[in-house]
Amino acid sequence: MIRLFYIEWIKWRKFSPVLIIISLYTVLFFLICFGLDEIIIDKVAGNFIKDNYNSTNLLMQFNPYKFPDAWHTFAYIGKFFKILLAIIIINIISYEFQNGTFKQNVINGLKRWEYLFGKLILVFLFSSFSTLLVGIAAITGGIIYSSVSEMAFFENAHFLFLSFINTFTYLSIAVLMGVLFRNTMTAFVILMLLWFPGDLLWLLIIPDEFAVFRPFEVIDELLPFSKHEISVWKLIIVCFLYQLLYWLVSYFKIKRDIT
Amino acid sequence: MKNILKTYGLSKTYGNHNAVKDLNITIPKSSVFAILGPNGSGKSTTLGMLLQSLKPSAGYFEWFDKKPESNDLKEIGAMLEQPKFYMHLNAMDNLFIVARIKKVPYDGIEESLKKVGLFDRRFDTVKSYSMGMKQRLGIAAAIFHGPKALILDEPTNGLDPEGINDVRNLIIDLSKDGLSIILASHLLNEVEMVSSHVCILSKGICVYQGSMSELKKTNEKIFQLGSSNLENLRIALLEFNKLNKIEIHKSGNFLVVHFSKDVKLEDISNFLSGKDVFLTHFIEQQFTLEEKFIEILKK
Repeated sequence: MIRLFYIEWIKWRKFSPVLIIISLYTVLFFLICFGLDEIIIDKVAGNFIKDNYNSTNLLMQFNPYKFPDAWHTFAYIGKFFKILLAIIIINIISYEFQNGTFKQNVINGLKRWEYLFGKLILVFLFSSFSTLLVGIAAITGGIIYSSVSEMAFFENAHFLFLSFINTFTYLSIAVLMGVLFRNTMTAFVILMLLWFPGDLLWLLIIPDEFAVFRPFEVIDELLPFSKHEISVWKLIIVCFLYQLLYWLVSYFKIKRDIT
Repeated sequence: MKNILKTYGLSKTYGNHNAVKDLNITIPKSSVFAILGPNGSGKSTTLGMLLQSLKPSAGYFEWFDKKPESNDLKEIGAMLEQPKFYMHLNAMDNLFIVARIKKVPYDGIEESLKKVGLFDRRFDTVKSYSMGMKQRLGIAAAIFHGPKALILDEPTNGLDPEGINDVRNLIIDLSKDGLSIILASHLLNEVEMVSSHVCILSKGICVYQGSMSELKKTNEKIFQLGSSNLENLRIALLEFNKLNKIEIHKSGNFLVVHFSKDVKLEDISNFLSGKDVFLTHFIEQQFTLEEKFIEILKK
């Protein structure tokens, strides 16, 4: 595994699309989290008060940047940025197929499962990176906005794990798109079309009670705007099953003849 | 180990099309074995199967006298047409990746870059390399781990004359070092200069296999003969008992005369002087690989 990690590290540490998008990701995420904090707080707290109470006195009490809600708030903001990471993954895989380095790697002795395992490592690393940013933002926001008496630090910290599963599952779809279409633009456009309107089209053929388990909906439901409407464990298990499916299809695709 | 590779009825079909059919070749150790054939004759398909990137439809092969295993690929260096590299990385990084894939130490990397003349450019990104330099880097990537066999598919494709010369000399040097080389090409004069053995493919079928010297051997001796009067020379030769055939050279200045294989130079000379015919031009004509190749394909 260290060998495959090292191969991926040498390959992509100087690849400019990776460096540019990772920098953009980091800057944009923190800019939106802490540059637009007042707007986000007003919006979220305002909705909460309007829907649940009829008093503006609660505005000062309910603040999504305070612990323990900070974990949920930043994980929720972070989930919109996974598209950038999907672009990197698709770009990397398309590069390898279009430039012929995938074939060259296989000729040099890399097994197909090793190639895919390398990409699994990349997806794990990018998901961990995105989770780390969410964690740093949540801790920073929580400390700034919470008073010492309100420091319920670890309550709701499980949203970090859900953020990881959210990104990991989404990037697993991106790997599948890259392997199937082998062209960055085509794979990305099809990924977007499968998300919208593709995910809505499932509603025409599946019963309403399974609507929440649609491929993209189930990822989205991991980090809902308000509360989970279904058991989190059910969502996680379904996400794991989808991940298994995406990786297996990717494997069988690249296992076929390559010349 | 006498042979590095043996194939047994190796075949590959795509639908109804036979890309390679019933291929049986034996590649001796330390040889430069050329696989020749026109475009679409099955050269690349054959190499694809030998490198295990294509599954044979029938038949099998043995590398180093044993059934193929994925580990064999570590004992083989390969460069297919235009070698593929990560353009944003330098030569060293690209070879580090190959080393990690093959699970071999980095020791031979610098030495191989010196051998192919890229040592001074080893920290430049590959996208700044010329076609010939990429080709030489491809050979460095294929040999730095000290493989037992090297596969080269059209190694001089797209190169300028200087690049072709560099690659040719490199192949000669590597074979002198004892490396077995399998070379697929359609450039016959290039192959002729470096190869010891040859297999000619036509429409996926091996139509000739043997040593290069064997291929160029003929059952007759052919001479270009000239004299002040070509007609007198022709009439005189008609009486020579070891004559097979007389043709007029395309320049119109000489005769191209086919004699039986055992004819001696002095026999011809003595016979003609006895007929008062004196030669002004006398050259033994050698068959080129190209002539033999065309002759075999015509059959």
